[in-house]
Formats: sequence, structure tokens, C-alpha cells
Amino acid sequence: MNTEQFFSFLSDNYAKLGEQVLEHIGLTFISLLLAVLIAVPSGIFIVGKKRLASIALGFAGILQTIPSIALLGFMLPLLGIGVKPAIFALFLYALLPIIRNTYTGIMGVDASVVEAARGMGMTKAQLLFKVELPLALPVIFAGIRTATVINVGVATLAAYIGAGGLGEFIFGGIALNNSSMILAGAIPAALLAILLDQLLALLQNRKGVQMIKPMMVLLILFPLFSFMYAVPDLFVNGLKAGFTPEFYGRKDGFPAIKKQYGLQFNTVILNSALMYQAVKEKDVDIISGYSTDGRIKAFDLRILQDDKHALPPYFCIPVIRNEVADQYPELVDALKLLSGEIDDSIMTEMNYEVDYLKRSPEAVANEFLKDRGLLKPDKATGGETITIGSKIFTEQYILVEIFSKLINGYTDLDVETVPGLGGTKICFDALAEGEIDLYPEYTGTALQVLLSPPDSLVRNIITQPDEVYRYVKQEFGEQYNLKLLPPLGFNNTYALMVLNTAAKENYWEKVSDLVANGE
Amino acid sequence: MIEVKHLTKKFGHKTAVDNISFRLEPGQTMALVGTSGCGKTTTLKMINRLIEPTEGEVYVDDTNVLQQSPEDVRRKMGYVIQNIGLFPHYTIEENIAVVPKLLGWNKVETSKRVFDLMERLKLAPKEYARKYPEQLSGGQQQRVGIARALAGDPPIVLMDEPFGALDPITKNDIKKDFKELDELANKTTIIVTHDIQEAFELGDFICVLNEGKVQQTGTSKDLLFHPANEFVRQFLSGKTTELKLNVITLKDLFDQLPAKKPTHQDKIIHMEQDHNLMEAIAQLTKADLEDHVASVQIKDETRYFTLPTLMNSFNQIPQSPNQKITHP
Repeated sequence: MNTEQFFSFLSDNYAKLGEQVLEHIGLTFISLLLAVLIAVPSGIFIVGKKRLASIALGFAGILQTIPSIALLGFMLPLLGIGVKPAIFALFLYALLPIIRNTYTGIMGVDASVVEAARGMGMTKAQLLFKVELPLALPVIFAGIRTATVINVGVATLAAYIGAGGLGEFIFGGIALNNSSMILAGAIPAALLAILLDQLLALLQNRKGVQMIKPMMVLLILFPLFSFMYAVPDLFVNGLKAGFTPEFYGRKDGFPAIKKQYGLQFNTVILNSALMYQAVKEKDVDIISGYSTDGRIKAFDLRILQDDKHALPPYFCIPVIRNEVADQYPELVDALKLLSGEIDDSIMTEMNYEVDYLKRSPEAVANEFLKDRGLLKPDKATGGETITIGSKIFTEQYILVEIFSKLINGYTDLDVETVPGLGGTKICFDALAEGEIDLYPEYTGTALQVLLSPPDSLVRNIITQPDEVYRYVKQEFGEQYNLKLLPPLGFNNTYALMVLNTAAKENYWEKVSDLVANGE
Repeated sequence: MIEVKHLTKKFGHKTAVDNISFRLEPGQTMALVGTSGCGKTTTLKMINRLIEPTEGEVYVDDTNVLQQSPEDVRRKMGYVIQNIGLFPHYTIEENIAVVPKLLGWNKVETSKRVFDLMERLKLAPKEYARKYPEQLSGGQQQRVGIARALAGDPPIVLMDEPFGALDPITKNDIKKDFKELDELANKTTIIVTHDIQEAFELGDFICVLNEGKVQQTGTSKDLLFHPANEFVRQFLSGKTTELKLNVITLKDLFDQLPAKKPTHQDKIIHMEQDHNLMEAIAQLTKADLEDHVASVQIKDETRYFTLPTLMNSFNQIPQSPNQKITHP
């Protein structure tokens, strides 16, 4: 990572960053406002009630000890995804410091001052509002300050459940191994925490009556800050889209669509497990996905046709090291048996069975080979070992099983599988360094992510799958001493997907159809 | 007028205050005196209902305070405590104005009253009105505390060790200004103190408590010359001479003083009959006169005395209290 990359990322994404900052501030303060509204009266209520106080403070303390990611997890089944569970979880986190400080603040008011106030004939309410609260204000304020800083931190996790905020870049950056993107989220989050902390410190250092005015200012500012969450939605037009961090960040993903179609979406970054739920619940209109995704069937989704060819073809190809291919020609022959055997619908069906019917990849692979008449019993001769790797998603797990069974059945070689190696870059590096011998890759990914040719070249060949295959095969051979086997048949391209019902309603068939709605 | 009837407070099995009764008229001051833990503060706090009595009643002008709201009761009773308890977030002016505000006085009335009290308690309003309590010395703070207690013009003033936390010099200054407040003339004041000298100095009546029970209620002279029991005698012991010099006036000793005018004297200091002996001695020793002769006159009769003759007369009374010593 270098600074130049970081700043170019910022200048490309400043609008999104602005949105995230606003959402982040909004999330922090909506939950903080709710927490103040609940915790301050609760803190006041438990003053002088020893038993109740220890119960209330104990309860709030326990909430505080629940790991934030787990707390968000608990919220999902109850409140669904998006902003509601995020705010509720943040609200729970903010409770303890505010209740505790309200309680100790009031308990800490000089007993003789309270005695004098009662002796003067103040009612309980007058005592509270004229004496106890003003004197406890600095301590209560310190609690609010603590809660603010905690919330700015925890709010980064809100992105995990589709509530937006600066966590979108942080999680996206981690998924893409893109440190510019991570820092574009992390640095503003840290700055925001420091800034808000210092701002509140400024008010806290005043005392007594002098604090009442700033407190009033704050009471006005809180809802204003809270409102910021809604600001991006007011000014960003377009359909609501939920994209995985990878699709959002990769240049063969959303950026390509945006450029080619001139589309503008109101984007939320979601992890893929939640994305399907979100479109089903109509929290978003459009999601990203893969054309062979088993959940297309499960969630009754429709793939919008990429009529302007923004997304490159992603034909699946086994990639193998040249020296392994040369040493074991029977291995290459065995894998060639699969050439063109797996089309989109077969792959989608297999993914569906694993993802949705919860069958094991191994059983599904077995069944496939049986249907095709390719299943042979394992020779189990204990020969040389071939290591097969895979990326970390369902389809790749199935493919690894299919490869493994073929090799075991048709050759004397033994197979070791290393599935779930994380992202593209990790798999590819493992292959290039000889830690694995082969893995299933996709032509489009190889072109855009691994080879990164100049844009002019990409534009020329992108609509021609055969050209892409040829180019990748040639470059892999020359640059990395790798061999591409023939494509398996299916094209697992990135795709924009919508609910079938919504597609019918709006006459959406191709991505261009969205343009009218998107503007 | 305040009347306390059979006031009793039990904390669990412990009886802190046991059946206390007394009655005070406007203008009268009573000192509740005793060792710590004797129940004097508890008694005071039952009067303004900071502590609810277990038994007994408190009447102010024939209304039972237990049948009024505690807040109403307290707003009509000034309250001064040892730790002062000024509101740190209020200015001096706002502190003093608390009760008038609670009583709903208008602004003009309130600030007139506040400034007036500040003047009389030697707190220049221009200098102090806008200051906060922490900017004042301890003595000045207690002056504010007294002003705050009096601000609502309450018929009753309750003071719990009001001068207890102050150094002797500050204490005497404040007491002097306090005693000079003419508005105390129509108020009933109850002062709790552990200091018998202070009780003698400030109280028209003194109520000695021990273990929650009244040992004796009476004037300073009653206590000095007719202690009700051994406890009272013990409580006063060691300080009796000083207390007596403070309590006995020239009028009390009038009959014992010589009637004969010293022949060689030209200049005689004339003293009032209600001067106490301490004051008389102070003047005689200070006077720039050769033989220090003084005179006191009641109606047509005049008595003349010097320091030795005065002490001589005084020494005659302690063992056999003079019949003429009367209640005020």
C-alpha cells in the first residue's frame, strides 16, 4: 500500500465516504440519544435504592460484556438486518456508562448541600432539577462522553449487518485485502472518535451552571446528528442496492457497471450471507451475486442480463502448474474429461443442493460424476500426492471434490485438498509458489484481478469469451509458467439480481432497464 | 410561637430522643445543648420534619406541623447547618434568594431582601452578590448561610451548630453581627450546640440533653445556681466561674456593693445596671484612672466599687445563691 493509492482511493470514493461518515455519526447519535433518554431517568430512579441500583448496574454491566459482534448476531433474528438491530445494539452498549455516571454523579452530591436544599423546603423535584442534576452534570456528561466513544467504535460493526457507516470500507477492505480501502474507513472512524471526545471534553470542563447552556446545545445537536443518518438517503437517488464488499470494490464488479451504464444506486454494503435475506425482505431492490448461485433458485431471484457487457465472462477453468502438468499427463487427461460438462444450470443446481438443501459438497460431487458416468472407484494406490486448492465459497468446494474424485478414479495419483483458501490472491499466490498444484479459477477474474492489462485491451476483448480465454492462457503460460485446462462449461459471472416478482412488476430484464429507475 | 409536645424518636430499639417538650414565644431563643449523640440534632430535625418523629407533636402558632406538607413547614423555618451547604452552582445572591423564590416572592421584593440581609451580615452586595460560594472564606460562607435562612422572613429559625466549624475570632465576629440582627426580636430561634458557653451566650433558655432525655430546661442562672441534677453540674463544671461572670449583672450584685462614695475620687466611671461582671471588670482594668472606681445607679440609689470590692461581692454569692437573682 502506498499513500498515492490511498489518496486516489479517497478521491474516487469521496462521495461514498461522505455518506458513510454521515451514517456513522447518525448511528452513533441516534443510539446515544435513546440511551440518554432511558439511562438518565433510570440512573435517577435507582438513586437511594441500593438493591435496585446493584441489579440495574449489574444488568447493564452484563450487556457491556457481550462481545459486540455477538450482540449484533442476537439482534438479527429479532430485528432483521439493517439499521434497527444496529441502533438497538449500540443503544445497549451506551446504557451502562450513562446509568452508572448518573447514579454516582447524584450520589456524589455533597450531603450537606442536599440537607440544606431539603431544609430550605425544596420538593423532591426541585431538589433533583435545581440541585442534584446540575451538580451531577459533569459526571453524567463524562458518562455520555464515554458512551459516545464506545459507540463510534462499535458502530463500525454495524456495516456487518447492513446498517452502513465507516465499517463498510473496513470490512470491504479486509475482504478485498485492500489496505487503502481499510484505512479509508479506519482513519475517519478514529478521527471521528477523537474529535467527538474532544468536543465533549470541552463542554465537560465547564462547571455548574455554566454547563447548563452547553447541555441545551447538546440536546439540540443530538437529534441533528441523529438525523445525519437519513441524509444520504435524501440526496442519493436511485434504487437501493445491497452489494458484497468484494463486488463493490473490485473493478470488474460494481465500478464496471457504474461506468458502462451510468447507473447510480443508493448502495449498502452487506456480507453475502445477509444480502439474500435483505432482497427477500425488500430492504434492498438489487443485489450482487454469481450467475451460478444456488440461492437464485432458493430465493426466487432473476439475473438481469448484462446487455452492455460491462462484466467480463467468468468461465471456470482449472489452472495447473506447468511442471505438474508435464510430469503427470494422465492428470491433465483426467481433468479434460470435465471439459464442457458443467453448464450454468448444472452448477446452479449443485450450489443449490449444498447451500440450500445442506448436502455435503462431497455427496453432490459424487452424484454429479455418477450421472455423467464419470465415477470410478478410488484406485487408492498411494502414489504421488497432488494438492488441490480452492477459494472460500460453495462452488469451489464442490469443484475440488469433483477434481479429487476424478483424479483418484482415473490416475494412480493421490489427492490432498486444501479448500477455503480465502480470496483469489491467496489461491493464486499459493499456486505460483508451489504450495498447491491446481485450483479452479475464472477467466474474468484472471484477466482483471491477476493480470490487470491496460483498459484499452480489456475493452477490446471483454465481450469475446474466447479472446479472454486465449489471452489469459497465453499470459499465464508466459508470466507464471501456469497451464489453463479447457473451460468446464459454465460462466459464473458477477450479476445483478432482483426478486422475480419485482422484475415482473417493473419489466426488468436487462441491466439497462434499471437506468430509467436509477436516474 | 412553637410548642413541642412529647417528641420521641426511636431508631430500631434505640431511643434517640425521649419525650421532649418545651414551648417558646416569639423573640425567645433556646439553646439545645449536650454531648454528641445526646439527640439534640435529631430533635431539631424533627421540628422541620427532616426526620419524622416516632411519637409526639410540634405546633407552630397552634397548627400541627405533622399535618402540613414538609415543604411548607420548612419554608417557614430558617435552617442553618454546621457544614453550611451552600449551593456551589448558585451565586451568593441566588443562594440567599432560594426560599423567597420557593415562596413565590417577586423579583424586586426578593433582591431588596437579599441585599438588605447581605448589608446587615457585613457582605457588601456589590462585591459578593455575583460571586460563587467557593470564592468566599468559611466565615463569609456561614454569613451567607445565615442570610439564606432568614431570607424568607421565617417566624422560626433552626440552627444546627451554626458556628461549630469556624475559628474563634471569626466565630465571635459572626456571633456579634448575628446577635445584632433586630429581626430576631420577633422570631423564635432554636440553636443546637455542644458548647455550653455558646449556649449561655445565645440562649434565653437552655435545654440540657443527655441520652435523649431532658436534664434541665431553664435560664443560664437556673442552670448555674440551681442545677437540676448531677449531670448538669458535671456538664458545667470547670467553667462555672467564667459563666457566672458572664451571667451575673451589676444589678444582681447591687445590694452587696458598698454605698459609700470614695472621698478622694473625682473621676468615676458610670456603668449601666445590666452590665455583666465580665464587662465591668474589663472596663475597670482598662480605664485610665488611678484607683479605678466605678459607680452604678438604680433609681435613686448609687453604689460605688473598685475591682477588689467587686470581686469581694462576687465571691459571696457562688456558694449561697442570692435570693434576688431573678429570671429575665
